[in-house]
Amino acid sequence: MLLRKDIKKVIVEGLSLFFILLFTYAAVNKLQQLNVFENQLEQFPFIGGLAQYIAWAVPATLITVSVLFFFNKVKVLAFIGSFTIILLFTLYILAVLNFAASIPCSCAGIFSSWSWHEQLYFNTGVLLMAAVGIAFSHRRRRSKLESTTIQSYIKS
Amino acid sequence: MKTNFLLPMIAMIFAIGMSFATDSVLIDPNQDYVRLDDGSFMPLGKEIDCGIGDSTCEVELPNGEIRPVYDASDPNTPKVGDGEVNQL
Repeated sequence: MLLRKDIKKVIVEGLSLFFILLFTYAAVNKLQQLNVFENQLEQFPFIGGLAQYIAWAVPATLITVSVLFFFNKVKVLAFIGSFTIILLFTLYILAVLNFAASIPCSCAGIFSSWSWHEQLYFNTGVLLMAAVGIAFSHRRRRSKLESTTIQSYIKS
Repeated sequence: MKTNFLLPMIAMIFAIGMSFATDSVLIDPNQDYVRLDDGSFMPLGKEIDCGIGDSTCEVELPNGEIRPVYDASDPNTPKVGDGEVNQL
């Protein structure tokens, strides 16, 4: 069954607010304890050598994607960015749990007191939400473009 | 246009406020802790490899006592693992 346009709009706006809250909270949390975050990343398998770059790149990327949600024209891009970030994080957790020689503390995740498994379940839900956001905002943008084209055609 | 910006801006300010307001626990990535009977925490000097699982991670101290392992000197950070008792 097709959802009405206004319901889709509310869902997209709600998801945008959720991602702004999640990413800003996570980014500011990391920036508050940048040295600790870098130290934690150094203990991580596969990425330990890049800790000093990742410690800056993660909050910077999260804030950039949060700001993208402010603009309707790039909302699809923001949802795609969110999906990619969470997907990369999820794949990393899976790699750590399955292939790493020793499992580090799960303290560098979005919520530091969660276990790796809890983060994995949360990420799965967030991935689904980002996918819904991509689908709905993409259709909204396409239908907006179509209606603009029809209106300009009628005027001419 | 104004309302388009207002809600995301409020959400962002709220999230920044939340991250400052929440008392975030500093998880020590270099070592784990055990809780003693008086409620204080003793550092173990190393990270305990608890394996994968949802059981309480425990360690056997040199005096033979078995105690649950914590990620930080905070009672809200118990470590989970495969349930095996680790040797210190």
